[in-house]
Amino acid sequence: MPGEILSKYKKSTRKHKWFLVIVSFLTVLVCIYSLLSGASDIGIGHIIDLLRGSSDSISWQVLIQIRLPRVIAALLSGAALAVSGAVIQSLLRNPLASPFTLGISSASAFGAAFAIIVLGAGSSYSSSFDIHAINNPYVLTISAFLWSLVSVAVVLALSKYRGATPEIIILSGIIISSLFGAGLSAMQYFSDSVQLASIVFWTFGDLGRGSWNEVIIIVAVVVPVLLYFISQGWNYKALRSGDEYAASLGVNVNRVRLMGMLAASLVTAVVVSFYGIIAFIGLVVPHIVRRIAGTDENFLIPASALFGALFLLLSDTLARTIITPVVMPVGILTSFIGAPLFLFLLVRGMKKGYW
Amino acid sequence: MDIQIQKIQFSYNGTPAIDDINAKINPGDLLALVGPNGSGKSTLIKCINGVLKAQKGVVLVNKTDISDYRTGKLAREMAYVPQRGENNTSSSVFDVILLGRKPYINWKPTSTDLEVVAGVIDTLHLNALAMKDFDKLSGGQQQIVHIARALAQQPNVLLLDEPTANLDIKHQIEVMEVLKKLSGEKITIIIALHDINMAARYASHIMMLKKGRVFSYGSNETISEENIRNLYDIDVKIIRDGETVFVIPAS
Repeated sequence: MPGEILSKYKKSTRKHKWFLVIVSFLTVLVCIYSLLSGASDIGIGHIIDLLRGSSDSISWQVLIQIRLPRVIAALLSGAALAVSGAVIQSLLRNPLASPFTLGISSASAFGAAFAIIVLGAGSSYSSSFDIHAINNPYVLTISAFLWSLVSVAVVLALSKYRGATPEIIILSGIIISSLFGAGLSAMQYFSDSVQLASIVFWTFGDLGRGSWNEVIIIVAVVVPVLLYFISQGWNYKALRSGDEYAASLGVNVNRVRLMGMLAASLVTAVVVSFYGIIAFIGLVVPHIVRRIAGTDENFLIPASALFGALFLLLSDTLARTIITPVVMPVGILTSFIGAPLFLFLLVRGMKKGYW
Repeated sequence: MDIQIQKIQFSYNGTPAIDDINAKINPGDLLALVGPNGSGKSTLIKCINGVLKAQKGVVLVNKTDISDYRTGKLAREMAYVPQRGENNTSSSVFDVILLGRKPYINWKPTSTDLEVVAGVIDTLHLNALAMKDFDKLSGGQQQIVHIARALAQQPNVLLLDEPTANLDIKHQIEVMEVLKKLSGEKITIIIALHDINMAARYASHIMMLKKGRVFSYGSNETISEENIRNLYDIDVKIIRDGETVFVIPAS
C-alpha cells in the first residue's frame, strides 16, 4: 500500500533530524567548554560577570580577542572543509576526493606563501601575539584561491578521461601536493628568518593565528558558499547518478560541476590562507556522516557542515588543552586522526566499495 | 505526445554517429531501435532528449523544438533510463526513485512528490524493496527501479537505452511487459534493443540503424531474413506464427 510505504519513508528520515539535533547540541556544549578552557583561567562566573558588564579587562580580552575568534574560526573552517569534501566527492563521484587529497590545500598554502614572499602581502614584524602580521589579507586570499585553481584545473581535465579511476585522480592530487610542497620549501630556502617562520606555519595548520579581521573575511566567504551548496543538493544528487542522467533531468552538468569546484576551492583557499593546511577534515567527516545517515546530498551537505564544525572545534580544543600550557597546532592532530582513517577507507573500499 | 525527428545529425569529433534521421512517433507507440554496436542507437536517444545537442536538424516534442523548452520543463515530458546506471550509492530504493521528482521539486519534496513515488512503487510491485539499499538489489531489480525513477517524472515519453542488457530472460520479459503496459496508457516509448526477438515481440514500430543511418523503418514486418543479413552480416531463419516472430541464427 502506498500509505504504508510513505510512513516507512518518513520514519527513515527522522534519523536525519535526530542527527542534526544531537550534533547541534554537542556543538553548543563544546563551544562553551572551549571558551572556558585554556591557559588563562576563566569560569562560568567570569562569563556571567562579563555579560553584566562588570569584569576585569584581562578576562574580557582573553575571551573576546583570543578565544571567541578562535572558536568561530574553528566552527566555520571545519564546516567549510567538510562541506567542500562532501561536494567534491559527489561532483567527481570520487569517494577519496577532498580539498586535501586533491592538492587544493597545498596549492592554496603555496599561493598564500607566494603572496607574502613575492607580493609582499605581509612582511612587517608584529609585536602582538602573532609572529607575522598579515598586512593585506585580501591579496593573501586571492593569491591562495588563484593558485588553488591550478589543481582544480588538473583534476577536472583528468576526470574527463574514461580511464581515470578515483585512485588515479588521488595520485594526481599527491603529485600536485608534492609539487606545491616543493614550491613552499623553495620559498623557505630563499626567505629571511621572519618570513621563514611564517611559511613553516602553513605546513602545520593552526587556528590560533587568526584575529577578528580574518574571522570577518571567513564569515563573508564561507556563509554564502555554504548556503549555495545547500541550495544545490538536488543537482549534486542527480550528478552522482551519472552526467547523462543528470542532464536528462535538466541539470546543466558542466556549469554545476565547475561552479561547485570553484566554490569549494574558494572556501578552502580562504581557510588555508589564514590557518594553514588542516588535513583530512574534508575526507573523513563526509564519510562518517554517510555511514550514520546515508548518502542523500540534501542531508549530507548540511550535516557535514555541522559535523565538520563540531569535529574541528573539538580537535582544536583538544590540541589546545591536551598539554597545557603548550598549544599544539590542530593540523597535527587532525592528521594523526585522519591518516589512519584514510587508510581504513582505502582498505575497506578495495574490499566492498567506498560508499 | 508526438515526436518528430527531422534530419538530425550528430558527430563525435567530425565522424557522424547518426546522420539524416527522420521519424514521426505517435502517442502510445513503442518504437524499438535495433542495429549493431556503434550503429547510433544510444546517440539517437540522447539527441531526442537533448542530452546531446544535434548539430543539424530538429527534434519536435508536441510541435515545439526541444531546445526551446526551459530547463527542467522538458524533463516533465520526457524521462530517460540510461544504459548502465552509475548509481553507486547506499540510498534506499525510495530515495533513488524520489530523484525522478527533481523536475518538480524546488526546495523540498512536497507530499505530492512523495505520494507519486509511493504510487509508482506500488504500480511496479516494488513495495517489499522500497526501504532496501539500492546497491544490494539484483541487476534486474535495479533496472526496474530505474524505470520506476523515470516514471516518477510522470512523463509522456519514455526513452530507454538497452534496459534489458545483462538481464536474465525472466527479468527481460518483466521489463518489456511493464513497457508494453505503459504504452497501452498512451506513453510513447523509444527503446534501444539488442535482442531482435524482443523487438519483434513487443514493439509497435522498429527502426533499424546501420552506421548512423535509418536502414529500415516500419512494423515488425521489417524484420526479414534479408534485412538482418544486410544489417548484421549474418544468416538467420525467421519463423512467423501469427503475430509472433522468431529470429533464429542459421548455421
